[in-house]
Amino acid sequence: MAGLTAGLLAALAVAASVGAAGLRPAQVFQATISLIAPSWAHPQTYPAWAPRLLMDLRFPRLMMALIAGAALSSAGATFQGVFRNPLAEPYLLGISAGAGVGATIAIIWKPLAALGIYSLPLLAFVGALFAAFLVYRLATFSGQTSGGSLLLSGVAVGSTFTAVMSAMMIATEPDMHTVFVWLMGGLTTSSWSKVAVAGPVVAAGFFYMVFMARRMNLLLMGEERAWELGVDARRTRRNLLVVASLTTAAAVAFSGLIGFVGLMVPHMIRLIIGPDHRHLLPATAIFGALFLLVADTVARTAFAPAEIPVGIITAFVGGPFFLYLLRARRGV
Amino acid sequence: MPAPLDAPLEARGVSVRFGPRTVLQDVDLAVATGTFLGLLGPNGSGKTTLLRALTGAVVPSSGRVLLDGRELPRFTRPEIARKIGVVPQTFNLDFKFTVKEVVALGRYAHGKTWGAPPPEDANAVATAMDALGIAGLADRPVTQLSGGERQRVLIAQTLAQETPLLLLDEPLNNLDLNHQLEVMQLLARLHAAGRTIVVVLHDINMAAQYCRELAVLADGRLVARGTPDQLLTPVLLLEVFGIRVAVHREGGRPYITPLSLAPAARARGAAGYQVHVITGGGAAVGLLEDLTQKGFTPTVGVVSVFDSDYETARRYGLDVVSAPPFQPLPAEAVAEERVMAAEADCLIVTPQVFGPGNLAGLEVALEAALDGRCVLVLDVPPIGERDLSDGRATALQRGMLAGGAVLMPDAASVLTTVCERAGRRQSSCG
Repeated sequence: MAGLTAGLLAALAVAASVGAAGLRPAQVFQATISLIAPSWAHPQTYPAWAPRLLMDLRFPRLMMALIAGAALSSAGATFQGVFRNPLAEPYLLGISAGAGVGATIAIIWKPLAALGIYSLPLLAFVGALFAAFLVYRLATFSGQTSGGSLLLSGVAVGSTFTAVMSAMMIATEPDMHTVFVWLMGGLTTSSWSKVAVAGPVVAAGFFYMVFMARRMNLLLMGEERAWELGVDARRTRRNLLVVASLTTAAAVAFSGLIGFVGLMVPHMIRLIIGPDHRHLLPATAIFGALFLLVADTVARTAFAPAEIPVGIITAFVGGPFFLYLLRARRGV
Repeated sequence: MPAPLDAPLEARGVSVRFGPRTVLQDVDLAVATGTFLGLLGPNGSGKTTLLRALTGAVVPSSGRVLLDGRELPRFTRPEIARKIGVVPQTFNLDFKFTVKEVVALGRYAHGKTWGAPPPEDANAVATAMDALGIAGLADRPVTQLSGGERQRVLIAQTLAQETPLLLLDEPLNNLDLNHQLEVMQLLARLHAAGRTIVVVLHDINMAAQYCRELAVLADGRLVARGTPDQLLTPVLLLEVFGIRVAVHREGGRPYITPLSLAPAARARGAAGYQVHVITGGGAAVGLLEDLTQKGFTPTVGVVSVFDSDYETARRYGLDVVSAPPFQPLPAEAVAEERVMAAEADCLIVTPQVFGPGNLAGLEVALEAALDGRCVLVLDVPPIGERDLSDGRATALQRGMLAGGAVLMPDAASVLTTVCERAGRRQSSCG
């Protein structure tokens, strides 16, 4: 855990230093000092615009990467635990498709632009939660919600929403590119105001999941066994699904659909430190944050000044690394 | 153990319905403190559902479950889990927890969400692992254990829960015989230490040997409850399980030997008409062959194992009550014959030689005749020439005939009469 935290800080320093503006690490350091304690800085060592660039563009983006990474991976760990299914991921309950529909509406329906920068995240958030709610309701029969029917209705609602989204995209061809880029996931438009909205939601969700970590361990033995050992399993499971969905939706609303992080990071950490959620959740959140930070840094610098959607990087790096771990450890 | 040991549990008029299916029907079961109760019953009789209703995992469609005199829903989950420990049939855990971690999950109801686990947790976990002999596996991932080891981990997890009440659902599943005995002896020790135990068992002998009391479920109803000695009778086991057994009572606890499936299950389907032949000394050889050829599956009793009747019966795969040769019929064998006779549509008494030792068969036939049931008596040669019991056999046969038994002049008429009585139920008689 200490190693992870150190790695995170180091990555933050590197990520802050690189970028299209071509600042050197020393300049970033001095400019950062000037932001924290102006009297200690040496203004002659960095361009006058550097503090502004860092403060308005780079730092909020780094923060958003951390928030989204932590949110997706801890929600992923929770979904995998609650469903006892290694293939579970944060988008399981149709959140991705719901957010996609919301985002597409925000992009193609121009009057919504009146809502400003919040129109897209707001609609994506609402769409995601609507889809998750729908999936949950459809999978509930006389008060009981089984994992199997949740998975299936998640798939069904997901493909229906995806079809709606595709239809809207085809109908409004000029916006297709914008929608497509959003779907790939990206942190380009991050700002402090967005961080201020997403951050508290994700933090609250994360702490709730950690608070429930011991109960999640018991749920791994199945709802009935957890119940026998003293956990109000049905309620715990439902609350965790709601909170994990909310956390995911908050991240998705501002970062788009970044794939693979929520699926693979929990597995990677589980392979290394074991399945105990009391350790797994914090470690997963930190590593997820770190992973997305690095991926985003690569996304914005590899082909600078052009950017590629960060979802491409996460998938491209995460897939093979995950396979390597899987082979090396002989199974999950 | 910190928790008080007194925690009586009681089901009152509990019925459980899953959709249209009634799984439990009006079950009353009081489990007083200090009970060591074995629950028996065929598959699907509702044992597991009853256990789950007692823990609150299944909510009764009607009726109530009381713990300490209060209804279950009025307790919180952790409160119940501090009083009732459950060992389910199986568990699934595909995540690589170590054995010790899994056993420690049993401590949940005692713990706090935050902070280091209290020292008694570690004690309880260590004690539980020792009791099941899995201390050596403490750091092994549960995913790498054998079925028997997993079963013992599950029991240890429940022991770590330190509850006054223990409900176990077939805890001997997957265990080798030595581990089965270890678990049963462990339960006996826990019971001696003051725990209240209800255990669902498949193995009737294991239940009879260790449990203080047995209760039997059939078709969702509690049909009997009592000490093993009171409860394990051939008739009850035939009615509930459809098996014919010998019950041995050497020592304080009964022991059963399954003999065969009830003919009710086997022959009624095929022939529809059940015949029981009371014979001995080879008197029935030809008759058994004829009956079998006509499609009947007669039952046979009580014959000595050296008897040619016995060989014939075995050759045709008939259900037969046997007895050791050259001695009076044992009471167990007679009880079995009585069960067979009770199931049969018609009894046939063959012309054997009667002495003081084998009159029991005639007594069984007399009872049946007096009940107005079909009894055919083959009296060739006549009873007078075969009676070595100072006239007692003759008297019994006379009683039989007076009660409505029918005298048969020869074996052929026995066959004809049986075929007639079987009527439409026996198509191959023609």
